[in-house]
Amino acid sequence: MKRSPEQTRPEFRNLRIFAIDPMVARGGDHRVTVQVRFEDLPLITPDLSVPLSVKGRRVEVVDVDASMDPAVWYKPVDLDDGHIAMQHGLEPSESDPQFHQQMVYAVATRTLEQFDRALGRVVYFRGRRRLRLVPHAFYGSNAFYHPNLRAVLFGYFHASHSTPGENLPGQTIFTCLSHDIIAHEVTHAVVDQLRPFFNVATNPQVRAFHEAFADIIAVFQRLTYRDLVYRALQDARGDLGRSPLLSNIAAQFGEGLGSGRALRSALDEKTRVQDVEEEHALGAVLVAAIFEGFQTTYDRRSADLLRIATGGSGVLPQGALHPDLVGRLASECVRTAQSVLTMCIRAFDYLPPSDVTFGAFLRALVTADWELNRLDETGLRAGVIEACRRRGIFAEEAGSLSVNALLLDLEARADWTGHESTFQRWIGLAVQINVEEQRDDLKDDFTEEDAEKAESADLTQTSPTQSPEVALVSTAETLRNDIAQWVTTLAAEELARLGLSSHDVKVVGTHPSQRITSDGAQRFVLVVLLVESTTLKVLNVDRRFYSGVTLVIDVTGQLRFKVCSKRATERWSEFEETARRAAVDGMGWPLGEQPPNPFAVNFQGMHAGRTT
Amino acid sequence: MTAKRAQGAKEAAAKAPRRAAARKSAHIDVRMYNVGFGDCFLLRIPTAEGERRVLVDCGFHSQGKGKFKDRELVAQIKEDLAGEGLDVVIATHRHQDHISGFGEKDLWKEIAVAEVWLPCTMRPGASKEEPALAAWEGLLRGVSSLVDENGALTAGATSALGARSAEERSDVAFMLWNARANTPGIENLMEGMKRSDKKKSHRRFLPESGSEFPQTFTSDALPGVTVHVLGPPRDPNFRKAKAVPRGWGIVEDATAPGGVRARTAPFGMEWQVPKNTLPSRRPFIDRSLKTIRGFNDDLMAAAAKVEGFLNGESLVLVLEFGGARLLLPGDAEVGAWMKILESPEATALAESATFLKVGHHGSHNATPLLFLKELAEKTPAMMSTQEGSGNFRNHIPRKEILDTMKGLKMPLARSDKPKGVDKSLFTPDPEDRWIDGKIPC
Repeated sequence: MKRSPEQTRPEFRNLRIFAIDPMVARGGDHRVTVQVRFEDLPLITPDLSVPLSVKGRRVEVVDVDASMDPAVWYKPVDLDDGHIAMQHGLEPSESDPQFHQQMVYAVATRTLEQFDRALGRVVYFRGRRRLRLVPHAFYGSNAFYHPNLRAVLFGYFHASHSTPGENLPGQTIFTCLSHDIIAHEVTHAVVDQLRPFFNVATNPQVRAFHEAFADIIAVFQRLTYRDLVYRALQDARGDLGRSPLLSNIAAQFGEGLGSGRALRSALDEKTRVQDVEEEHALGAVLVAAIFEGFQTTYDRRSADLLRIATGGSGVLPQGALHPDLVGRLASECVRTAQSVLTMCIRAFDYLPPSDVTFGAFLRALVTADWELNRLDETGLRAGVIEACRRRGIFAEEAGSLSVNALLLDLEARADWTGHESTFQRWIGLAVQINVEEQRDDLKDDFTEEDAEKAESADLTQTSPTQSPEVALVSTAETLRNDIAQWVTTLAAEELARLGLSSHDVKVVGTHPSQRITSDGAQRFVLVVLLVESTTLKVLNVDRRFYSGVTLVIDVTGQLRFKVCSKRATERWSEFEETARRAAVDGMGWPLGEQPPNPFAVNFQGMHAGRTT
Repeated sequence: MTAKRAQGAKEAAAKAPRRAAARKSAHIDVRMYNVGFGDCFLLRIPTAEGERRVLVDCGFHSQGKGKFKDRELVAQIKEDLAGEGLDVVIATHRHQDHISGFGEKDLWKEIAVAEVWLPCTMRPGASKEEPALAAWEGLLRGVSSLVDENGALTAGATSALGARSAEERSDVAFMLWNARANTPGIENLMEGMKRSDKKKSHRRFLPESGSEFPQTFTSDALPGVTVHVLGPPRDPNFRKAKAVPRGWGIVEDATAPGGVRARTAPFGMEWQVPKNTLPSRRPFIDRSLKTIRGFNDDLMAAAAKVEGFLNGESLVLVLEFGGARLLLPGDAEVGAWMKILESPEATALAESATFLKVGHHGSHNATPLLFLKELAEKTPAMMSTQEGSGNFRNHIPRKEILDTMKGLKMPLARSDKPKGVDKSLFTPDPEDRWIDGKIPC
C-alpha cells in the first residue's frame, strides 16, 4: 500500500510468457502473465559502454549467439522502460529476441523464487555470482546447464522441411521458448548449488535424481499458472486425468528438444524402479510417483466441489461447466501443485551431502513435511508415500513405508548435550546471517560494489571444496570457522556417530532457514553440511569420492537430525562394479584405453541421452 | 548366461531335434563374394524337393576394395546360378553396401526370383502407422543429397562440416554414401523382381506381425526350412525414442530447397549490437564463446545417427534346416541385439547357431560378447569385411571380436584374407573372388 507520494517502488514485476511452447501447441491462448519479485533491471554499465546483458541480482541474461564466428550480440531488453513495463513486458512473440530474453528472465526468476519460498531463504549462486542465461547460445537441438561457464545455454535449430511435424517447414525452433526447458535447466543449476557433491554419480539413482527433480519442478511450476489451468480444466470438464493440459505437459516436454519423449507414458505405466536400469527411465519412475500423489490429492480435494455443484451426485451434467466451479477447481489444482513443489524442494535440507538415492529423497521429503505439517490434512504426504510404494521406491534403512518408519531418526539428545552451548552459539550466528541476508535482499539496489563481486572472473574455477553460499559474507565465515574448529575437537566415537572417519572435514554449507508451520508457528533451523573426501583406487585409477553428514540443528541448540551418506570406503566393490560396467559398451566390448569417468555427471550428455 | 536363458535354450533345443543323423553327408553351400566393405552371400540348400537358392544381400561400397562392382557382381551371381533362378532374395537393410547390386535392373530381369524378404520398416504405408519412420525417411532423403554417386561430399555438406579434419570428412562421406537412397535398387526389390512365370515375386516384410517374438514361419519357396525372425523389432517404440535426431537442422540447411542455406543469424541487424560498438569487457571472454561454439550440432553426428538407424532396421534371421541353423544378423546394432537378449527364446535361437554371418563386417556394435561366448565351440563363421582407415572404420573388424572367436576356436573365413582359412571347411577361389563354405545339415 502506498503511504507517501515518493513510495512508488512496486512489489512485483509482471511479465508475459508462453506457458506452453508456441512451437508445439498451436491454437488457443497459451500466454500467461507471471509475477516475479521486483528488482531494478537498468541497462547501465559502470563505464557507460554499450550494455550487453540484463543483470538481476541472481541471474544475468546474456544474449550472445556463439554459433557464429565472430559471435553475434543482441541488444538486451530494457525491462525498466516505461513503455515495456506498463504492458507487462513485451508481447510474446517468436520473432522478437528481446521477448526471448524476457521469457528466460521471468521463468528462471520464478523458478528461483520457488526455492526461496520453500527453503525459507534466498538462494544465491556460489559467491553470489549470477547465473548466466544465454537464450540463443548455439545452433543445435539441446539446452543444458554448464557448471564451469556458470551458465544455462539454450540452443536453436531449424525444423525439417520435408517432415516438419507440428512445426512450419524450416521454421527456427528456440529451446528458450519452452517454459519447461528453462525451469528444468535452472533447476539443475540450483541443485548443483545446493548439493555440489551430487555431481559424483556414486549410484545409478544420482543422475536419475538430477533429471527427475528438474522434471518435477518444471511440470509442477507450470501447474501453478492459474489462467492456464483454468482454461485446461474448462476444456477437460474438471477431470485432471483427461485434461489436454496434462497430455500437453507430457507431449511437449522435450519435444522442443526433438525427442518426443512422452512423459505421459511414464505417468500411465506403473513401472517400478526395480524394473528399469537406464537412468532416464529410472528418473521417470520418480516423476510418475510424485505426479500420482498430486493427482490423487487433487481428486480428493475437488470431490466435494463436484458434489456441491451437482446436488450431491458428483456426476457432472453434459455441456460446459459453470465458470465458478472451474475457478474453484483451478484454485485447488494450483494450490495442490504449489504444495507439491514446496514439499519436494523442502526435502533438500534433509538430504545427505552426497550419494542421493530415491529412498533418501522420500525420507527427506516425508521428514521435512512432517516437521512443518504434522497432520497432513490434505493427504498429499500419504498420497506420495503410497505412489512411491507402488513403484518400489522405499528407503533401505527404514523398516516400512509408514510415516513413522520413513521419518529420519531423531538424534538422542543425551548424545549431544555437551555440545548444545556450541550449537546455540551457531544458531545465534545463523540468525544474524539471516538478518544480514534479508537486509541485503531488501535493499532496493544491487550496488555496483555487489556487481563487482559478482563478476570478478569469467570462467569460474569451481573448486568442490569452495563453500557454496557464504564465501563473501563475514558472519557466515565466522560461523563456518567455528564449525570447522568444532569438528577438530570431536572425539573419535562422536565422529563415528556422524559417519565421519577423520578430522579432515570441510564445512561445505551453512544454511539458515526460516519457515512457518501449517498452524502458523515459526521454525528456524540451521542446516550444516560436512564433507570428507576419500581417494580410492577404482580399476587402478585414483578417484575421489565424497561422503559426509547433513546436520539439522533447531533453535534450542538441539541436533534434531543427522543424515549421513554411506562411507565411500565401504562401497569400494560397488564402485569397482560400476566402473567395470562403464568400461564396456552396450555389446560387452571394452571401450578402449581410456574409458570415460564412470562417476561423472555430465549435464550436456544427460540431455543428449534423453533426446536420442 | 542366466539360468532363465539357459533353460530357454534347452527347451528350444528340445523342440527342434537335430535331424543331422538322417543325412550324414548333407550340407548347405555358402558362397561369400569378396565385395570389400559390403555383404553378398549365396546359399544353396539341399531340400527334399531339390536344391533351393537364397541370396542374402547384394552390395558393395564405393570406397571398398573388393573384387566386384555392382554389374560384375550381379553378372557373377547369374553365371553361378547357371540358368537357375533364386528362390529367395533377402535384403537385410537399405544400406548401399548391402543392396547396391539390386539396382542393376536389366540384369535382374534375367534372374527369376520367387520371394523377396525385406525388413518390415520398408512395407508400404509403414510410415503412416509409425510417424517416427516418416521423420527418418525425411532425414534419409536429406542425407542422400549430401553426397554424389561417387561418394564425394557436396559443397553444402563440406561447408556444414566446417573445421572437421580431412579424415573425419572422409568418414562422413563414407557413411553418407552408404545411406544414400538407392532408388533403382529399392524399386527393384519392392516392385521389379519377377518369378520364372513372369509374375511379381512374392514380398514378405519381416516380421510380418508384431504379436509374437521371435516370429517363425515356413515358406513354399524353401521346403523344409523354418525361418525365425529375430529382428528388426516391430514395436514402434523401438524407433520412436530415436525420432528427430540431433543434427537435423544441419542436414536441413545443407539440403534446403534451392541450394545450401547459408546459416545467418536468426534475427536481423536491427536487433544486433553493432560490432564496432562492442565494449572490450564482455560477459563472456572469447575462450568461453569458443567453448559454447563447440556445442553446435554437426553433420558428423547426424551421419552417425542415420548409420545407426539403418543398421537398426536390419533383418536378423535364423534359417533352420535339418541340423543347421544359419544366423544371419545383417548389420543389426546394439538396440536390436538388446531386444533379442531380452527374450529367452530369441537368445536361445541365436545361441544355437551352427553358422554365423558376423554382423556389420565385424564392427564392435554388431556382435555382443555375451552372445558370442555362448555359441558352441568351433561354430564356423564368415565375415565379409575389409580392414580400413579412418575413425569410423579403423576398428573394423574389431580386434577383440577376432581374438574372442579365436579363443572359441571358431573357424573364420574373412573375405579380405582368403589365404588363412580352414581348408577343411572353406574353399577360397584362386582369384580371391569368393570363399565357399560347407555347413552340415
